Amino acid sequence: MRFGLIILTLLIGIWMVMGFAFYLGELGSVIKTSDFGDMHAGDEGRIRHEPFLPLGWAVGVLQISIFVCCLSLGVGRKDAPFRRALAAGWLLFAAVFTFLAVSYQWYVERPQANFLGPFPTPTTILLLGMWGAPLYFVALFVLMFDRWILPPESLERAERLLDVLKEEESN
Amino acid sequence: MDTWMHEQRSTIILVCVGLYMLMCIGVGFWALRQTKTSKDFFMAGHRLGIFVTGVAVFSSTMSGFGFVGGPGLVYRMGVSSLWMVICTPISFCLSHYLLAKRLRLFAAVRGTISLPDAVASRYDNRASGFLSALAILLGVMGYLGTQILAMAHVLRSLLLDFEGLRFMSLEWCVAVSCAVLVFYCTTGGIIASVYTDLVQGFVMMIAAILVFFAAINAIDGGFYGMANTIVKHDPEAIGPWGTLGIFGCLSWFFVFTLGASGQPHVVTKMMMYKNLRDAKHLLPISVFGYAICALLWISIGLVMRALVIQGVHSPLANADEAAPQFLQHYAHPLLAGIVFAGLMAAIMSTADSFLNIGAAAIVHDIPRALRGRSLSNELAWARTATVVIAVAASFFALKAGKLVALLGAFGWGTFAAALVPAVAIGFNWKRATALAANVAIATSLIVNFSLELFGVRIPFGIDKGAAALLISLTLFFTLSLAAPPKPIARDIETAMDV
Repeated sequence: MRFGLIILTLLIGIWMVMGFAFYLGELGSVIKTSDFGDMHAGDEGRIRHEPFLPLGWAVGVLQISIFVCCLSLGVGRKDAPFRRALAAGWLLFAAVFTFLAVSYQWYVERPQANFLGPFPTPTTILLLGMWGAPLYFVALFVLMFDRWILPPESLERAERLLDVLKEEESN
Repeated sequence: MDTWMHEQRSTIILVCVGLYMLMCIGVGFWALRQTKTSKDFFMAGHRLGIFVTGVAVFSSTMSGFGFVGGPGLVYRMGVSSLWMVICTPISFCLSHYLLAKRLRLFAAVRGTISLPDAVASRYDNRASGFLSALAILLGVMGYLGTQILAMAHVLRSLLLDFEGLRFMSLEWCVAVSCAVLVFYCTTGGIIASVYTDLVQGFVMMIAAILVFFAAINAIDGGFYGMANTIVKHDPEAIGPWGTLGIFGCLSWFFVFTLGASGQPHVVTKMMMYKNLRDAKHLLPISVFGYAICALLWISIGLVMRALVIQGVHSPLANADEAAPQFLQHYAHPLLAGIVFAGLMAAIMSTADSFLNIGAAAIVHDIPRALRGRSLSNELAWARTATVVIAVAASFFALKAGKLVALLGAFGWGTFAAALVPAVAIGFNWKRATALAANVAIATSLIVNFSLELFGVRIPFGIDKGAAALLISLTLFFTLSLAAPPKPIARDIETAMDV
């Protein structure tokens, strides 16, 4: 029940934020460059994105929250260490996304001065941070598999169930 | 030697593709002897190893789109389409956390041999099985049609370089490429499919690594030089939202992250591995494999964009030309050969999975939903259905024109919106009801098809599939919470508790 209510609240949150963005209306647009064939250009970032950045950030964080809730549903455990571990992952993921949004704001001010590695700072955060942060959940899955995902008692329960079903079938 | 290789470029590429196709035929012959029952044909007898399953999961996720469409989107929109790629670690996490254990347990408990089979068992409702089979069949026809057409186009573009082979029309190329695909899918079913996926996965990884380094070398200053060129021309293109914009990118992030758990050709593989404990290793293998393959997606599009801006390369009339043009002009002939084989591998590894789940829908799921039992002599019918689906999809691809593109675009979003609530959530959440699952599936089909058919443009470049997924998820949770909890069969409930 609680899981359903939490996810439904998060989904309604996305509806509301998007509804507000629709109410404000689009600013700027994709420009189809005539000089370079089938290549689009992105218009002025400051005009196009600045008013929507907080709304976009909210949608991103709501989405990340839905993903982490779904991970928790898949494991189905209610013990504190597992919840803490998952909450830490959510915090990491949401923090990376927040940093991406903030660094984009710096980027639109002075694009050519904001490089981190070979790419602009927010793009580097996207490529390394947004890609890398979920590796925490991969590590959690592998390292804690025997404790949280499929502990020996769960495996035993599954084997017992299969034995009972086999017995019923043979009878 | 190098000059000779450049002169023989087309021959080298064709030989690489030919060798790859011969390997597929070889696997088909081997798998024929391993396939004795319909359970072997659809589920590989539930005896796949860790490595084979892990590689099959990522290689069937990476279709021809990742090798051609992906770089094309990067060329056209800049960084926007990278949101489809960077979400893969979290999307694989979701599909493995939610389904790796659960689907395998359902298969063990109820002997399910397809996803609709598992849906019908979970909700104890034949309509749910029927609707999910219908959604799969519709998605399969569109997706398979586009994959077959892509294979034929690749083959034809290769044959055009040979004077004596120019007579081969697109229809002939469809026939040749389909014949290889149908051969190994008919003889060896899913066993042939996953073992070719294994080879295809490795071919794709090698191709992606080599292309990545070729791309760095193709431009002065490597990736820094490339990013600098793009930022001077259009800072937004190389910014995190690309030219599509923030909400468009986030809609892709949503539908590609959650949607991966609803792709039947991918998650069905999670019913096939041998031991429950193997699930532990599947996730890192899939994440690692896909990450390597994604290097090609990221690098080619950006480099081609920079080369065109610098005036080194002429502008592309069609963005999908980015990958072929890069291979033709900036890659060593041997590398081009490997990548073209990798491209065929990417297309075939997805197409063979679609053929298999499509056959399961026709000979197993729909008859069971309508008559309460599957067909007798299921294996023979499954082989026949595989041929029929491939032939129908080929005709459909050649004759239906716009409709193929419509159903192709409809594929990922439809599977996501239809199956994420009913399968990924419903298999783990006991409050989910059959009515909610059926409404979610039906709504997703109607919303997706209507949006595509009427060409509706959602503001901010929001993806139609993401909108359909948001609608179907909201309906699914609302309807489930509104109804009192329904009793679940004891064995299914225990499987959900494990």
